Amino acid sequence: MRLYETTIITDTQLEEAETENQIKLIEDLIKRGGGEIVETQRWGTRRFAYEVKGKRQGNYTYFLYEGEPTIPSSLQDAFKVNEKIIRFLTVVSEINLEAKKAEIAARKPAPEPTPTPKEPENDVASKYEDEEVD
Amino acid sequence: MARGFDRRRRKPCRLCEAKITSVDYKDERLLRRFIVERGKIIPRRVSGNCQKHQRQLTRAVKRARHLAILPFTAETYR
Repeated sequence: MRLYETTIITDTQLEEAETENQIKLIEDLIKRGGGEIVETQRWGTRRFAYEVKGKRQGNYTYFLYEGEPTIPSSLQDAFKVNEKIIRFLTVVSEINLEAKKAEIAARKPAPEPTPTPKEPENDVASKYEDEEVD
Repeated sequence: MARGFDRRRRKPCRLCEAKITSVDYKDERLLRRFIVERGKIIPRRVSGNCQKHQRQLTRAVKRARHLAILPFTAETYR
């Protein structure tokens, strides 16, 4: 068993449901190969540093998983024929698995994402008002 | 100082100072510090990185380039 990281770039033109579907497909492929997914991260849309296949931005997804070396090669075969995937990169991870698992476990107990307090638009004005009261 | 000029003082490896064990290709902000505007990797002789970290760095930069996180070259260079 080895720890791998795979990052894929999908087309931003794809609908959200389709992107999700693609991610599911990959996760299934990893699981079917006997792998265990540690983490899946959606990085969202990022601008490219250069044009790739005529596109200037892409949707990034990152997978961290454990498994046999057959998995990366089977993923590669799948990615090559899949036109929805613009680019991919698989590397042997240097992440400390124990530390990572602990980090994920620590993150889990607080699944409620604290809603970012909406800044009132006249925030700057209100600050000045406060000063004036002084 | 011994040998030649005083200015030949060895620069400290900034990655060692930051206690980075492995350079991550996903860390764009860190990698950006070690490439020139044009996209080239800054040589060890200039940055003062140690051999070990420079090796990790070049690998990370090349991976980041593949994922279009970093440029191979500046796109439009005027």
